[in-house]
Amino acid sequence: MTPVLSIKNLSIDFLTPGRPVHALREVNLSVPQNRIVGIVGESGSGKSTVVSAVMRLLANNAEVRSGEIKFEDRDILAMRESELRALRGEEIAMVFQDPMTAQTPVLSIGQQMVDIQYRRSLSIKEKRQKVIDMLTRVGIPDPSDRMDQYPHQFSGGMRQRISIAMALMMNPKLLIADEPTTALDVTLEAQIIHLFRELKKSFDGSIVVVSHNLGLIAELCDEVVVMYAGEVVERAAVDDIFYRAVHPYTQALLDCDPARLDELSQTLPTIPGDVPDLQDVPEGCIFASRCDQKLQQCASNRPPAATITQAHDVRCHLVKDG
Amino acid sequence: MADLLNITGLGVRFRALSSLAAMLQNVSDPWLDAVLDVSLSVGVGETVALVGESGSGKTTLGRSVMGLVRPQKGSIQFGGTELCGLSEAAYKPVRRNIAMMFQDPVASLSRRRSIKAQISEPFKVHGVPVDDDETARLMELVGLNHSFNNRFPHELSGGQARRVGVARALTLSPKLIIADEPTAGLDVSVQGEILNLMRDLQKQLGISYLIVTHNLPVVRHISDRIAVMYLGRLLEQGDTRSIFKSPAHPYTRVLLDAVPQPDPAKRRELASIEGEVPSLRDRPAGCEFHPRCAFRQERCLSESPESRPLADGRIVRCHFPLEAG
Repeated sequence: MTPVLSIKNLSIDFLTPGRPVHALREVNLSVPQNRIVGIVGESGSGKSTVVSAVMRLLANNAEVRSGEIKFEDRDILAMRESELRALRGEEIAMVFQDPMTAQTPVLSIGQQMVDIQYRRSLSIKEKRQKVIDMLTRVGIPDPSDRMDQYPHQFSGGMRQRISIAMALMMNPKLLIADEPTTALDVTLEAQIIHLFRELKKSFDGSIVVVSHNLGLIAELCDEVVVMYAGEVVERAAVDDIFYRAVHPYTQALLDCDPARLDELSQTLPTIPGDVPDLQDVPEGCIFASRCDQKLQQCASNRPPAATITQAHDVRCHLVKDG
Repeated sequence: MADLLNITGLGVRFRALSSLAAMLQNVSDPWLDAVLDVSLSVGVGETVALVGESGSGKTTLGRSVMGLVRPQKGSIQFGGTELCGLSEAAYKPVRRNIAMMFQDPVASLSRRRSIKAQISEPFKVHGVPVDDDETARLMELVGLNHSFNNRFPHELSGGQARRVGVARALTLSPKLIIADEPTAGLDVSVQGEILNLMRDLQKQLGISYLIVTHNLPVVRHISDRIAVMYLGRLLEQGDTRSIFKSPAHPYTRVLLDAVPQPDPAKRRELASIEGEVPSLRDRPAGCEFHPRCAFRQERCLSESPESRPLADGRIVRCHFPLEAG
């Protein structure tokens, strides 16, 4: 089965008045049909750049140096603006981090959701019925009354549900959720996780969840892509990442999460050092300067992406291909 | 342990409507109770974490200790001095002993002044002579080298800005630091550094912390005691270990259960958590948590529970606290 989304060898620079920032370097990832794929990484890892590239929403100073982004069998990077408009919202939809700013405050949510269906040849009444059905699916109480209310009349958790309803309105093949719970309290976060799981049962598309929250990733995803400083360092099934992580960065990231420390500890683990300067990318492995298992070759040779098992790729010299 | 800070029966109200608007809308009570009848103490060298959802009043409580918000009711004793009702001029010396770390480290720094100028600013405010050695000592204490002296906030990473925030809080050797969300916006690999730094400074200098946060996994490791707030009230407070082991208030249990577990084998059914925090303008009758409580009974709908101590020293505001174990 062809994957819904496949990114091959993607490298993106941001041109700045000084030297270019090499924000993404040879990124490979694929999102199979009907799966939830998580992209994890810390700030500056390039996870948002990947998402912006897929939506073709990159800033003007971005330059795609190499690679391709395929949605089913179409090349997103080669699409014209008119083709992109047909793609965004219809086939790929997005849920943003901050539900308080993702909707326009001057239209009722029902009106916004009717507007989303502008390509459908249905009567207003039928479109409103579809809105009511969708709001019911995401758990908004009394949707036929509340659809005529404005965003400020809803709480944060409700608004995130509405954002998800808007994204699913056109039944997209791919839903991208960028930090969907970061702006929410922990009880609402749990509710949104629950909602995603429920939707998964009836929604026959794929979901990409971008987050730095390992808890969210573990609760939701089937597969995980770990990014560090603009590179994919490891990708595997969720169990392989959480129980059999190979890359030292993935291991260190997992070790740092206080929620994973069973023993109470006086000192919390950290990853010493800083993320390298992406205007001046080090020659060898990108993680070498902070790695506690580094070998001699790590400083000078960039490790190739090695395949451990069929669905487990790692970019590290500690791993031999095969 | 001697108490450094002792808050009793504290109440903070904000005016939500002007008297004219209240009259026009026929609202008899135009006030919001942001903090309601809160009693809490912090011992010398102790770390107390204040947890709760947004709108629970935890930040307001922190700010009222600092004198940034003036409470209408109750008392705040700090080192034997009553802070409630102090004039602005009388508050100034108190603020030498209480420092605050604000939520957004970059926004809380002036973008037009160098790091060194900002670290020496509190000395100038309080008329304490300061020299370069002193600022250098502070920066070394928080792990920033002298090259940061002449940098500006936009040149710092989130973790570095946080360190400057810690250095500023430490300037006048305070006895108490109120840290509002000290790890918000930090990556996991960096948040440990800041928390370890705060812990080391506590050991060296004997500082007490009142940490306002919603990050429960972090709270478990760094705090001695926890106080759980909901709609301005403290629902449960007690020793961190025992609360994490067996929460007595149903709300505490909901909060702890809601934290997503970074372990795919522990995926759970998240069914028990219903609803959202009600508006402060529309407080539920009886126990204010009852609309979301899975264990509510008749009595909870009408009768508001009082705070009462449990056998292990915890204080719980619930008619039917959960069994330990």
